[in-house]
Amino acid sequence: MNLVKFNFMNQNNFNKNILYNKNKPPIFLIILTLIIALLCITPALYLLFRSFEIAGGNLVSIILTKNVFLVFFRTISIIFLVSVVSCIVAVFSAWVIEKTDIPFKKVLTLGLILPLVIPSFILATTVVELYSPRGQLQKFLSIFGVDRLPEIYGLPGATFVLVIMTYPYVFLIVRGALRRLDPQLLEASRSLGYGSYKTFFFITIPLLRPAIAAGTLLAALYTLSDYGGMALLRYNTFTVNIMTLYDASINRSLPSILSLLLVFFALFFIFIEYFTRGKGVFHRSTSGSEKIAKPLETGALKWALVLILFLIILLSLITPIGVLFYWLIRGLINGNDLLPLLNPVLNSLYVAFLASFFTVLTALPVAIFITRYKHKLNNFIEFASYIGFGLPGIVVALSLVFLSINLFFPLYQSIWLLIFSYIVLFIPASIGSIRASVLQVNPRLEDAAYSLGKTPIMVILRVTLPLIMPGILSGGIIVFLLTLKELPATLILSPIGYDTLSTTIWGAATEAFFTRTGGASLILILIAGIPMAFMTLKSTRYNIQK
Amino acid sequence: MKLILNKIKNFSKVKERKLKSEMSSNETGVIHLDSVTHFYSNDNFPTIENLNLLVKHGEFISILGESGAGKTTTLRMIAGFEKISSGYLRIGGQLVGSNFLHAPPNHRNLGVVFQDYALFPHMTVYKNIEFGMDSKIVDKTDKINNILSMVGMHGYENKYVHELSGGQQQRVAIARAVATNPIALLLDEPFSNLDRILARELRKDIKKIVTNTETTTILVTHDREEALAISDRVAVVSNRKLLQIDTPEYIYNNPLTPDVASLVGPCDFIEGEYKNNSVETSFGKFRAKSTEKIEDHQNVKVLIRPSDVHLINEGSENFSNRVISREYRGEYDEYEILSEKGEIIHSRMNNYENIAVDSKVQIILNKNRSVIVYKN
Repeated sequence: MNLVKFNFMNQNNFNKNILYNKNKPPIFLIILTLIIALLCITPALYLLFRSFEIAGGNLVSIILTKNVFLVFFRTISIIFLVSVVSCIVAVFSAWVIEKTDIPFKKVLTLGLILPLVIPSFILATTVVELYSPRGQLQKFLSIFGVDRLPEIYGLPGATFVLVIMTYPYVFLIVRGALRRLDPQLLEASRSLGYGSYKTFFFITIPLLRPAIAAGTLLAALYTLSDYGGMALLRYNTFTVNIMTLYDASINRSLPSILSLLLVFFALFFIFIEYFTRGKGVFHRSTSGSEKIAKPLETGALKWALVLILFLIILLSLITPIGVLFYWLIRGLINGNDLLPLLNPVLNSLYVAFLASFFTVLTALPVAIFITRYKHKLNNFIEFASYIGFGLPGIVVALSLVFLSINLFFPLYQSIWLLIFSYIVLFIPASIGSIRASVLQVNPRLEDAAYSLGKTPIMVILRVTLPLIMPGILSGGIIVFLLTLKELPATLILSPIGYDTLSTTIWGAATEAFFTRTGGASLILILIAGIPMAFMTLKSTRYNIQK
Repeated sequence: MKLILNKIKNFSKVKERKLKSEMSSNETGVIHLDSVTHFYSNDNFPTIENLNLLVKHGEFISILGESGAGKTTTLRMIAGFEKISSGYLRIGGQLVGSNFLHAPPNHRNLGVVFQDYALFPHMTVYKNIEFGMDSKIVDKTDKINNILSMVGMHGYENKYVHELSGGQQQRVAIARAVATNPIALLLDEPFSNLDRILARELRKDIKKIVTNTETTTILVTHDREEALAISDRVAVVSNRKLLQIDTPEYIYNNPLTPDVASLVGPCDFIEGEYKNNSVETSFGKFRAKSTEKIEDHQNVKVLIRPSDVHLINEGSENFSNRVISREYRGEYDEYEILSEKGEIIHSRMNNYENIAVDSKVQIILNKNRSVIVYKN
């Protein structure tokens, strides 16, 4: 979501005069955003510094070992597979939902977005239960004489899990772009003799290119940084490798060097996205009122389309949750108690609330600064605050561990270090959401408030803040959700004995007590799913009214 | 650090002498721009250059110009949204802007009405108007009700902005600006988002309000009819410069340059030879006057307004000018007339003077008016 807004801004030079206030930003805002930016960039800088310090001349020889090459190859292949598949799934379903006349759009949209709340490690446990050679699916298929399914561990299972995990993000981004697409362009194409399918391939897809690029980048980055799903499905990527080395704790320098490689890897994808973005201007060209396009009539094909979307939802949402319920019930029958979960639930909620509160608090000045003012620090602050977007959670966590041990020991093993890592990781998402709402506020409103005699602080409190409240709230919800789902940083940084939902589930899952994970997983999905469903429904309703 | 401290110091000083409308005097005017120039930081050309403008108390001034001429920048400079690069800006005799000083907009006590209204969408009409008012005022509700009935919006105080039409929103925006007792009212193309009839109605109402309350007003517009109809004086701005400032009538009849002439009304320019207060052109000989000193037998540029041109086609065969097109415009017909030399002028005449295309015509000026001539 964020990246698209981001592109939109950069390309929209035409609007810059309106968007930017040419006044100088207040000094307190400059200092504040600068501090935040420096804090965000600290883990990456420290990692860089450490790796060079430790490795020195050995850096090249470590990188060139055979093992690293193998890991590199595995990582690349799964990134490629996941990006392509989730891109196809997402673009297809977004187009069907937004541009055709199929029924049950609201329910289907919800079903397509909600897999977002299921963490990869929970998905992985259900995938193993369902599709392993002797899993539930095989039991069902044995009626037809199938007595063994192909191996699920490794690439196939990991790809399956990560596609389910990433396609909702791509779907959201592409759907947003489709909504902003000027329907007149499509009508023009139809009037020039292109059929609806030709229009889709020659007009819609090229116009969606920036959104698709941003979505694919997101899918690639999530795949790169995923730990839980990959580890459970025994697919040894960079991230898994780093964690294994760190756990073994024989050598502290190797994980940090690999982390550095991982960061370069992520940067590489961000650059690719930047260049595929293209130079065209993709915003609506007319200033007239937005016209609602007539949905494409699909006739008898309608039910086939609904069925395909339903199958996607079945695989990505319904069966995993079904398995979790099955485990929950089986667990309860076997005498498992849900009471021990109370503490992890409270811990998770506490940490997630703190993380959303502080992340939004730090995102707010940055978002206002980079959208409202034109300042020479803009580029640096934008880069610094977005860096967490490309940093895998494990990298931030490792860097913070080393940093706190060496420099700020009181912070080591404290919950605040964990919160700090969440801020660095999730500030880009909340900046994106706040920034979008700041962009919607006409700067003339602020001018008007100044001319009515109000001081800058009064203007922010009484005009800007109330108007961007929706963006702040959704930014907070996103961070809340991401925090609940986060695994690697939570595993590394949470103080000893401080169990959250995700670490509890992880603990049971790694010891293959899958039945025990049912209750905790369902509670996690419920806590994360309710605000998400609320947000989705709210935005759909708004769209219908419009 | 010293710089910051200084800034804070200046800040509080400006605040102490918060501007009052009584402070204006005749010499300084309410608003005085003294050779003001404005650059955007990354541009080589100024947005407005060497602007001198003295607005007196209770005066209604329009700044007329095409888009990009620098008129909105001028207004934003006065309001304090833009810093001036050089020159001096005084409000009520008080220096508020120069290259070393910039009083922020919230200390200038000016009422600004924006093109897109800029009403706060999260507040009711009442709250919008209350927003800028002094919190110590006792009979606030009465005041707001008074202002609302003045702008013809009584009974709308609990509505939200999106429940109002464009014209109503603009009325509320005016009410909000007037409610703070501003030194002057600045209107930035306030009618351009409204349709013609609504705009005319609102224009008349605004004129009434500012005349009754003796509010000094500056209006920025690209609509010459609007500027001529409403203002005490019109300032014509073109290509980053102020070309002429005068009463609407004078400026229409005596434009200083061809640019001014074409900005304040439709016109044609033809070649001519000046001699003894008259000018010889391919359309005939007319009485001429000029704002410059012109010697006899000099070639000049002649300004002819279509509404002054009257066509006669009786006894036509000897005339050398030919009608090449006729357009029905409702209130009048517009003719295009071609001279032997190939020059074209236009004429606007009542439609009962039915002259066919291709007929030969003689040209006389209505009421024997003089044409304006400019040095080539």
